[in-house]
Amino acid sequence: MTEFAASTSAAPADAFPAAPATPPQPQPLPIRFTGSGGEYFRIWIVNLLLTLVTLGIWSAWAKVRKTRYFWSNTQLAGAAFQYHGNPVAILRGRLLAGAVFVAYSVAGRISLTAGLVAGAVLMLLGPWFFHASMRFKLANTSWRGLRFGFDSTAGRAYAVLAPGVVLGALFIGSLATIQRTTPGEQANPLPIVLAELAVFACWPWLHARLKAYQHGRAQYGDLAFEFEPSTRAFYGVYGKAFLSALPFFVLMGIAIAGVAAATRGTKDPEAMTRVFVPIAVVTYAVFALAYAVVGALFTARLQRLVWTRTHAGPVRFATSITARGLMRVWIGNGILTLLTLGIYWPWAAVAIARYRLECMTLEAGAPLETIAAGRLPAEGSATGEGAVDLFGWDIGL
Amino acid sequence: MSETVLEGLLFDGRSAAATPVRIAIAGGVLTITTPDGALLSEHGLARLTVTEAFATAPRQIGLPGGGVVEVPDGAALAAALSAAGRRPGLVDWLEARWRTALAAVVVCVAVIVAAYLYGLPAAAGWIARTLPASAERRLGDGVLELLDGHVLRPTALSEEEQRAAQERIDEAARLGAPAVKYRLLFRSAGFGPSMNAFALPGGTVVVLDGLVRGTASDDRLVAIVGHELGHVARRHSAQALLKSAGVGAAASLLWGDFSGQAAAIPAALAMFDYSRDAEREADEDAVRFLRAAGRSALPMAEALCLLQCVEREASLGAMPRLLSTHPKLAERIQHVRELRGVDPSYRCPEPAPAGSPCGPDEDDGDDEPGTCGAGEAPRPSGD
Repeated sequence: MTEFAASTSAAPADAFPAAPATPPQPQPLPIRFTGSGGEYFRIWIVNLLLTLVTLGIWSAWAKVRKTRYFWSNTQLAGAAFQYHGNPVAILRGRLLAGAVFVAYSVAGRISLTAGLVAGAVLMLLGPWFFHASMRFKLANTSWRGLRFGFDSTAGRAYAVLAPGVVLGALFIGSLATIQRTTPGEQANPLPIVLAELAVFACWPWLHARLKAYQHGRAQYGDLAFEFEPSTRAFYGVYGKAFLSALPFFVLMGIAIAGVAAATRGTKDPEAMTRVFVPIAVVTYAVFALAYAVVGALFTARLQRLVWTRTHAGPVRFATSITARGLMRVWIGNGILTLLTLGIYWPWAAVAIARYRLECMTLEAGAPLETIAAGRLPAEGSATGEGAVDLFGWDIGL
Repeated sequence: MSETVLEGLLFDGRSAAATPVRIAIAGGVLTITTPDGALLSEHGLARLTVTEAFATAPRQIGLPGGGVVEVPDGAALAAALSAAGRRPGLVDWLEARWRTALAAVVVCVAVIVAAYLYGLPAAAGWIARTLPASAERRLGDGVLELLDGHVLRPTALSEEEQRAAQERIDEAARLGAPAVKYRLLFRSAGFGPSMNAFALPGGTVVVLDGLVRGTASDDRLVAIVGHELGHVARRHSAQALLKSAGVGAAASLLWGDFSGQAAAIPAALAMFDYSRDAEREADEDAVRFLRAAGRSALPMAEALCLLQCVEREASLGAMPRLLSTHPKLAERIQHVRELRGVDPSYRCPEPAPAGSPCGPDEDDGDDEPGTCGAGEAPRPSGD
């Protein structure tokens, strides 16, 4: 693929003959990521400094610059992506989202009821944030002079995400009943167990719904993306991830039981403190390993599942991402980032982006010239984008 | 100056079709031609938007009508634009050089250190002073909840022991610090040395079992509580909590990619890491407190000796000293000795050799590590 990409970038126009005489021999659209860790490090550190000395104001400009770096260095079929996000809109969004976040944190400290009300309000705003964020992200990304878009309304976002909001409300409500019991009284665990079971049982279905919404409403120019329904496959991915996590749970259980059995007899606190540190270290190491292994298996399967079911008219997607490859990238870069106290992060971010992007393959069954500009408005509100950044909701496309 | 001709792709903004073009910049004008040289359009440079120069990325020139020319050779475009008098922005210039990037690393570290050393204490002090008492109490209750859930256990003291300690402290506080509102709580340490006490924002003073048992027969308990009441009156714990919260918030802003929730417990523990000045002030308060309560300053020195002994003992086991982070105890003992009221020849009791590091009797049988404080401290006569 690298070789092919090199030849297309030398003569990018040849990749698309203006008038294909014979129809659809699907044409590969090679993806190339040309970013480098060193260059991104310079951008990252300069913008970090500017963010620090402007007390965070610059963070909106920093986000635009960093996003532009990644998009500009992503070349699909010899043409790069372009990010158009307006820093002022992002700053406004961040300030608003920050105000909501502060209100939420303060409410939780004032009283339980205020915290619950604020949590409920936040959850009700969630679908709108999500929808606004998708609009902003896609409307501000272009390729070959045409913008992407997200063809949806706030109403549709609420309709799609309503089951998630209901389940979340159920869960918070069950937590509240636990909190309301007086200290002496034995809490009834039934409601919380039932709510948790409901959330677990419905989670893959909700995730499938969300991805179908996210991928199914995306547009490139006037080309609409489609997503094949796949709830069963989502349950499969979650089931396999759960099974692969099982050995780690068993291992941890055995280790905890062993430690408990070994230390039950001893009353000597010195001995307890001596075993505490190695136990803590081993526990964290096992957790990190489990996270890397299970996380990589889950992410790789999910990416393959999602992209094989996504298409945009004549364009089909696929990814050759593997759990092993993802694990290698995560563990190596994660360790280096930890050892350098975060300084290695820009190199890690570039390496992870490169792996994920270069695993993607696209095929066009028809010439791209037929795609025309869409009619969606140019720019969505950045408030949702700010909220999504701030609350750390990962909705990576 | 020879005119540079660059290869590019023209996108008209109406469809995804690409037209190969040549562009040239001369006299403040961008000229777009077909590869054969036929003129397509001309634009004044001032009306164009050009994306940043990155080392290997193509650059896009935005045309007034919504079209885009993508130029694969970004460096050549940069040279042509620069020759035409269009300079890169200051931030672009900073980002493009290793020298400025390395300088940025140094300045970042300096800014963070300065903010930590000067900005944060000033901000935390200001907030702590303006914070209403009820809000401060709520902060303290939050910390107590967190500590109770993870670090502390219910007290093992009998009602009798609790009442005796409470009475001794209340009696001294009535005289020594009548204006300070406080609430005593007894807890046992989940792990680590339990010969300690600490103040939470809002006036809650938590006394650990080991301290009550180890000082049952003398005024060292009163001295330590006097010290904690000094922290309460000066709102040191609220300041320290705000400081650690500030560090947490800043860290999650800087490394937003990592979750900040897990940092809550270390932040709550870091709260007890008072500054050297704060400890000194609280020590002086404790001495004043003891005097006002009709006692000598000696128990404060003895109490610090006790903490020093516990600290030495704890450092023998490889336990991180989470709850006993009082800095520089030797220095503090020296300072208390310099205040009037303590015999300047007072020295901490020497640790007994072999077996128990700090006291003579080993057969205590309770769950305390070592025997710090169980032995009667030798007192100089005539104080």
